[in-house]
Amino acid sequence: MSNNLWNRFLLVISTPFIIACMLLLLFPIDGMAQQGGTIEGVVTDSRTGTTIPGANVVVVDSERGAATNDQGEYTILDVEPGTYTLQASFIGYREDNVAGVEVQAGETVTVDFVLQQELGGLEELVVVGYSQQQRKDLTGSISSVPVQELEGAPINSVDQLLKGQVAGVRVQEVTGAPGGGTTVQIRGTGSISAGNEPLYVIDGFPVSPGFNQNSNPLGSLNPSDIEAVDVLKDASATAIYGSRGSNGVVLITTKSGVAGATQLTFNARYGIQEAAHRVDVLNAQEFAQAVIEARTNAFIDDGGDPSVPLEDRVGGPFAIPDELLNPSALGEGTDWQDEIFRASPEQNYQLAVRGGSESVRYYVSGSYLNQEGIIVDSEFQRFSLRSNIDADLSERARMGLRLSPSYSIRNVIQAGGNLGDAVVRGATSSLPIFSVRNEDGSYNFANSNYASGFAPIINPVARAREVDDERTEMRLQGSAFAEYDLTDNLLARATLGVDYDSERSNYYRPSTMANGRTLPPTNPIGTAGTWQGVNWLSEATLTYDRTMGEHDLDVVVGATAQEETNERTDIEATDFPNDFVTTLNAGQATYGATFKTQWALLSLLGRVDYAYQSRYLLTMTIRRDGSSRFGANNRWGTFPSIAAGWRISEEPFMRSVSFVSDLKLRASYGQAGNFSIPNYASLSLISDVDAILGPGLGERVNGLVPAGFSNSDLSWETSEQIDLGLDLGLLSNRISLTADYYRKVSTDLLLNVQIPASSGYTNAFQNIGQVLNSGYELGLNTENIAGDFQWDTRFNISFNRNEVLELGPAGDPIFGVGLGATTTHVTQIGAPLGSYYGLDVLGIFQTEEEVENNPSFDDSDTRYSRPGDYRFRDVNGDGKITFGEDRTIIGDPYPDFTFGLTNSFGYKNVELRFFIDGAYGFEVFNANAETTGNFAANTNLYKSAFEGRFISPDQPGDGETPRLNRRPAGLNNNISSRFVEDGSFMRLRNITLNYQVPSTFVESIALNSARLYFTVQNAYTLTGYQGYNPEVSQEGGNSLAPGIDYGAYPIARSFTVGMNLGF
Amino acid sequence: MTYAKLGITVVFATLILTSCDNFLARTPPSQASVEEFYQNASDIDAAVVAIYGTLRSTGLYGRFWAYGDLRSDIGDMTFPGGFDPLTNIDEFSLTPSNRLLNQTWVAHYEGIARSNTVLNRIENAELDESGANQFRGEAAFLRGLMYFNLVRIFDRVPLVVSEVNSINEIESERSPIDEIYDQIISDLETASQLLPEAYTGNDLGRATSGAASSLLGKVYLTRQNYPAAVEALEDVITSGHYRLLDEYSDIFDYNNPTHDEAIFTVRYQANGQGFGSSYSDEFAPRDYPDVPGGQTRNRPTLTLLDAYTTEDEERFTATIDTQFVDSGGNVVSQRYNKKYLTPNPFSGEGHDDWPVLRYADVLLMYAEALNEVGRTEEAHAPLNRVRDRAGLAATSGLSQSGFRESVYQERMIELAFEGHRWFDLLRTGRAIEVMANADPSYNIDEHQLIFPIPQAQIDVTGGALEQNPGY
Repeated sequence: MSNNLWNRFLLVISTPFIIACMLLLLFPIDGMAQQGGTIEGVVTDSRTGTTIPGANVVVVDSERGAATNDQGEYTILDVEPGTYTLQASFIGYREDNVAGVEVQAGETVTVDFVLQQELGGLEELVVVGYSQQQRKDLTGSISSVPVQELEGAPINSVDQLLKGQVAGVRVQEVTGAPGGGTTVQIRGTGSISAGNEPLYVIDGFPVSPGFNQNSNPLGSLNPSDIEAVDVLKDASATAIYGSRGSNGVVLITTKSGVAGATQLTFNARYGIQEAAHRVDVLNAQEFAQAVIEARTNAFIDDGGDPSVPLEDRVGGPFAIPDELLNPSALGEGTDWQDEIFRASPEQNYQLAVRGGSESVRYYVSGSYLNQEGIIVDSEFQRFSLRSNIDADLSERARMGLRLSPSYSIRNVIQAGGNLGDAVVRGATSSLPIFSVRNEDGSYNFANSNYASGFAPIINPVARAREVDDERTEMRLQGSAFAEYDLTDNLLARATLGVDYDSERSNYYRPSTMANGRTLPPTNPIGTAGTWQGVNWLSEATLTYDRTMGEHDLDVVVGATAQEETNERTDIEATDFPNDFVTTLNAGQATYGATFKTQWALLSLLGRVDYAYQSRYLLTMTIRRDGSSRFGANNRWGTFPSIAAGWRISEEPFMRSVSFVSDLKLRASYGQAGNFSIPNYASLSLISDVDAILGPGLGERVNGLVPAGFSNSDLSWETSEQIDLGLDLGLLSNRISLTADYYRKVSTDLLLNVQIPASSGYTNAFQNIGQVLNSGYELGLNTENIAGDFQWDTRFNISFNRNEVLELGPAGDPIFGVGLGATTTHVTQIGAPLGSYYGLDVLGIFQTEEEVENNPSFDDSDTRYSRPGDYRFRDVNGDGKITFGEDRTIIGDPYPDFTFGLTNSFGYKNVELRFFIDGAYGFEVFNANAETTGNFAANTNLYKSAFEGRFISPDQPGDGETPRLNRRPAGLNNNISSRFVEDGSFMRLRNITLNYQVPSTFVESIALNSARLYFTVQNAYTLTGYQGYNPEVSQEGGNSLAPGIDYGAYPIARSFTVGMNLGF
Repeated sequence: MTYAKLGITVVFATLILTSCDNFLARTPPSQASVEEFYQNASDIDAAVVAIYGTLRSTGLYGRFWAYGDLRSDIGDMTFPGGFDPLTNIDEFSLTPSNRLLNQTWVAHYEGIARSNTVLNRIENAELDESGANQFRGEAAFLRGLMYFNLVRIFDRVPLVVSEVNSINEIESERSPIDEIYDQIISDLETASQLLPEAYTGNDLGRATSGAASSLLGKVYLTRQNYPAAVEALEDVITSGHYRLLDEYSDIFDYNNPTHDEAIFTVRYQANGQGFGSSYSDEFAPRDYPDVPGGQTRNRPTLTLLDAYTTEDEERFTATIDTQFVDSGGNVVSQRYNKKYLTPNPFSGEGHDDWPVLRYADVLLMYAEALNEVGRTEEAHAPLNRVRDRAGLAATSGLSQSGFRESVYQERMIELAFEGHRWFDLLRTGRAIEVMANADPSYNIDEHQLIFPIPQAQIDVTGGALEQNPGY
């Protein structure tokens, strides 16, 4: 198929220049008189350094030229003596000219070319659903990721490739955990409970989602094996994926073999990572001061006499531990962040062989990645193999095989969450007065059960080092296809694929750990789990492809069946006699269970691409999906789309406008669905509610109840989208611009709506609710300076607006729960999904008069507002502040815009590239402030909470920070806008310096090519956010509670050197 | 190459003609669905057992003490402010958004719905009539128990007595109080007729006809229908299945919860899987050996301590202590409630069970009811049986009003921390006066005698459910 298109392109629609080249190829110049000189040389790729077979080199203004052979070498014989300009070209690459080549009779002159890949070129093939198209023929909004440009960046997972590269795609690097996932959203958040991750399709196989902070379904894929990543954004592009297309689709194509000489490449990189940011917290001396002040304020609030000496104060919140009475004696104390962070190495090696004959082509690679995390004891290792083989069985029949087994091992540390179990939160909250270890070398758990009124905090170093949490994953993705040309225009193709995924987890908490306030020895706990997924796909398509004069028609019809079965086993044990044996055979099993779940999907699909005069383009697609997840009354859904394009630049009247090389208008409309509702949500299932009955301690007797209502009408979520787009190329595409406007309305949202409990249930799944995402996207690529010195810029920016249009039957808001059980978010009509919700801080009460004259927290309460407490907005205007009634929306988790900017500068063999990305106009819910920003000093505090604090009307601090108080008064510690911080950031995400070793030297050491590079990742972040990383999502893909930072694994800054060698 | 064409055609045909509905109709391998359930005796049995399973939840008997004891004059919170949902109940400062209120509402209606489902589905299941009658009786008893709790806590509530199968069938408006009580009484009468008098083996602990009659007596007492109460309670006493244990402290021995004094008990088992009770964890003082999470909640008030006479030592030592030796060997002064204080083998999980109904309660109710119908002389005997077991002298010759005070006092001591006190104060109309005497700072108002309807439920019904006055 691709070859067909390619040939058709070459033969029919090629530029006069290419025709000239073809003519040259057809009439090779050999055996002629030898009175002229000879020009020879090698054509190589600027980035990979590999040679380019089949490139054309011509002598400008003559009919002479040659194509490169398998080794990328060309020879032009018998050139008349003189001075010439030579031009080398190859599809997908930018032309290169070398002027002033002097040819003398009988002499040989060597001219080598280094060609740069041209990204987003008009003839570039783009993978669309179940077909391929040239970029110029696209009618939908589809972006390609410049995968080749990113080669060498220390990127370990494909989703990271998308970061900042494509307008409309928001990738948040929410964790720096080795092997951890990102969150990816295409054109906003449209679903409340069915997930917002796009559909990933690897070599035609749609894989199941399942990102979270520790796991990543793309983690088993080696990014170096990727040939192309195409992102389908509008409904005309995604509707062909039917009930899975509404969140956008990411199509990943892996490298396949090319006929020609065997290319052996070896890539290696080694890097050192460090924590990119430290959170500023108090040292021991400052902490002791803060405790004294906080407890003194609580004491005075309670009616205590401030003249009572510190050491004589009694009572939980007032008593000051002896060791804190003299702060100046304490000094710096322990810097817990120093203790958990480390400079850690990361290394990656890959060996790949690519080549084949005309009839059998192969790409085989093997790689090993070892990334030690910046937090002690965290690590990710991946062994991956890939074998992609294509064979021509006859003139008409072809087959192919894609096979990629991988094995990975992750050592996970619990970064965030409860202070009793969190390494990162533990490090910022642990009291600096404690040492990591006791004098006898054992871990010091004093912070787990310190004096009255201090929070129990696990020793974070012990938590990281002593608790084992290992996850292993074996994954085998494989598919085989066969193709047969039924006629010259009709191609039949059948594919069978399987994605087998097997994960194991082993966890052990030894007796040497504290548990809550209980100090060691504690009862050890071990768990073991397995998870296995078998996902198979069978697909058959017929493709009809015909050009009739000015009409160009492509039709695909197909049918697919897919089924996934997941099985899980969980075992828990405790009462281990010692810590020597940590597998569960040593303990007493307390829990064991296995689970199995399945889904199945049947689909029929069709697409028609029609072009008239290569100017008027029309695409229509339709898919009909039947899913086991939908209710019996709603089992099948139909998802149509239509799109049109007008290539104005091809119109006769545009011929004279020579500076416009490409101009296209696009418009599309379509529907796609989201089928990620729970597997059996339409059924009323029976679940266990056991009872204890019988004599003595009793027996557990099985009881069974329905877990909810059945709903036979339950169905997919539907999103309807229109897209208007413009593609513009100027000055031979030295400037190319793509702009899109879209409006996507997601309806029939699956909501687990709250229902009156008098029904016996608290929630029921219903298809109600509507969310709008609309916005603009702009991509601009410019070739600013060409020649020996090159400067290219790629820029993209996206604006998305998110608004809830409809909710449950009564339109009642849905409250999102962060921090365990506290309401932190609201989803209500007219506001973005999952807006932050709480009291709105206006300032700090400076004087008694101010408290008197403004609405304040209930006067009758013992913890009424006093000077130094927060002044909140009286939202309901009743003259007082009531927590329940004065809450309002206090922030938006979604940015006004996100952008990515890449500049690359090249001079001969050296290239320097900067990649900046950022997001502006969004807020982060910094839940860490629950402890480190609570002004109570029962854990360590942010320096800002101490230095900016209100002390007295004469020492008002920074005017934003309340007084310290162990018993926070005036609602200071309730959910309010003090938790909400501006998250806007701009990050210099990558700096890369490439050096292409000159071919003369390379050849002298028996290599074909060699590239060396140095990269700095996450070099610098400009942000006002005081946590580690403004890209946060504690609750993963939960769109009811987005944007929470509760101690995620910080991202690393890394310095990497690497080399790519071609043999 | 016709074979290739044939092959392709076959692939297509197979895919398109695969019986779509069979391929797509999936039933969950790890869970049964309602369509396959409620077929026979063992299905219905499991559905009934699940109603008992509901009773352990926080909103049912897990924190019933918060309503029965903490709210009253006998229990308080040691660290006010430490845990607001409970402190607010103790201090009469609670608001409709209190989390425990909603948990209570939800748990009770879950139990009611499970009972309704059993009573509906049993009609089409295949099982013999005697088995069916026992299950009907159990479901009716448990439904009556839950409605009785609900009306005492929230006053009028929506009365739902049939299975609800879709959101369109939900009733959320509050029903008249008499209608609810009529239903409770009818359920308990049905239960007392259908239920067996006793069980053996693993059925021990299921509801008996004695349990239904005891609860019926309590309902009548609450409705101040004393003659009916006397009749119902007499059925229990004359059944011969129950007696007072010799030692008061044996009542709370978790190793033997199915003893002769127990009439209906909510059972727990600490097995590390969420089947244990949190009583010892919540009631034990901090640093108490064997109970690492001790939080000193529901602490005995000084009012309660004063209520014990010096002769009442056996019951005092089984109920209250004022100091303990911590794991470091230090003597710590702290009042705490020790009726449920057993070692917690799993953090937060104990074996302690919750005595919903026991024979001493029945005897005291009987004594009270006899006194109210004017049979004061006869009423002395059941009261004295309880006093005698506690090692106290018999009372005699009390006037009707004197006897009334005496039986109130006896209930306060005998049944302390078993979830009765607040409801006893309510049904005898003494709550405001007693609370004011205990601690004037409570300063309670008439509207606080019933709890607010949970705000979450009002919100979710769009206001169809009305709030109680004063909140």
